[in-house]
Amino acid sequence: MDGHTLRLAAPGFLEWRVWDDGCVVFNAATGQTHYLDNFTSYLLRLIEAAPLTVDDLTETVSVGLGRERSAQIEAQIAGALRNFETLALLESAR
Amino acid sequence: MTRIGVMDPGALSRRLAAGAVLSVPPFAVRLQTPLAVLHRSMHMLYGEFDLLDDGGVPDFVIRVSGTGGLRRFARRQAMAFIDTPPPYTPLPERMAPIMFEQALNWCVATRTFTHLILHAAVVAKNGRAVIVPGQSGQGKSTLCAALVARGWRHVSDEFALMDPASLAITAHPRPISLKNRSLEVVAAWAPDLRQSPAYEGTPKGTIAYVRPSRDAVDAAPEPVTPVAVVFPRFDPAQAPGLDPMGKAAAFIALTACSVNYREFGAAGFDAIGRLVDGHPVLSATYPDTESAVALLEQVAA
Repeated sequence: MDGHTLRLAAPGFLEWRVWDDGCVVFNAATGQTHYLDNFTSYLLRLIEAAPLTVDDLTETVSVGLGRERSAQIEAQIAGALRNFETLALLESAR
Repeated sequence: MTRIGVMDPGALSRRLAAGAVLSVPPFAVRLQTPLAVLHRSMHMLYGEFDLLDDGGVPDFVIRVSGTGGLRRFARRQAMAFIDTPPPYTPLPERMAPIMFEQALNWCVATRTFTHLILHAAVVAKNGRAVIVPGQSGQGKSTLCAALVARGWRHVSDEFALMDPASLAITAHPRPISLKNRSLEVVAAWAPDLRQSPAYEGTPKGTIAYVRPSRDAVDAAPEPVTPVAVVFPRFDPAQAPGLDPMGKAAAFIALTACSVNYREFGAAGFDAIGRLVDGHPVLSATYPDTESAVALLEQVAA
């Protein structure tokens, strides 16, 4: 998926409620509500703001968190992206 | 309208055998049953409710009757019919009142499209309503009965019927369902509350119902405004306490308690979000009834 562009499966269909202990997002395209922790909601918001590649996303997250890019961050992001795809929140295209 | 409790029991039996429409606010329910055990139960538990003399168009139609075949002769059963096939396993005929309550719960949960419904008791003091969510067996009915016995308004025992736009709750007072140990707890706490006979051997153990008061039924047309949500947690090993829940956790817990959240789509998401954003959502831990009531008094103060 590294070279793919990540984009929302249904742009403009997400509604958010954000709190200190996490956030919930309603996907009007599927009628599903999802709980997201702070890290995963940060990722989804970045993708919602503008389609980007996994490489760009990883770089942006690393900078945003003030951490060196690492295998751990990459694994965290990869796991979250798989979940987003399973939940029909995300699609990727070459 | 005729108040059921003042009717001659024989006259009530004849009306119910033929089929009669009851006002169970905010619904009109047509009940038809030939079963004497249910006639007696309706006279007692629904004594403060009205029969609608002109019939009218009911929201729900429920028929509770005996089963056929050999069951007519041995271990007679009661079966509830809601238009067509019943969603429940038949129970022994002596448990017909439980069948009626289950059938009515099913109707409310699956056929109400105007309100966002939470599995929750709702009680109010001085107009300040508290939503007490919880699945069956988590203590909401025990707490509801204990508070009602201390003068709180009985808004609902089983379902909070919430307007998704205003968040106002339409009252739906019904007999309060007590199970197993809570029968003794409530009997000891409030010996004056009128309880039905205990039905032993149900799939959920022993069940009895508390009759709603006249005040609760008379006040039913007035909706209430929630001031807080309190998730009850009985734990005999813990000191009593109120703990704020995280908003996201509270949101998820409330949607899990809703029977029709998905049907409302974005409006349901928005309503639960505003409920969580605009009201304290608390977890109340208590080791006994006394401390539970004290905690709720604190919340509604």
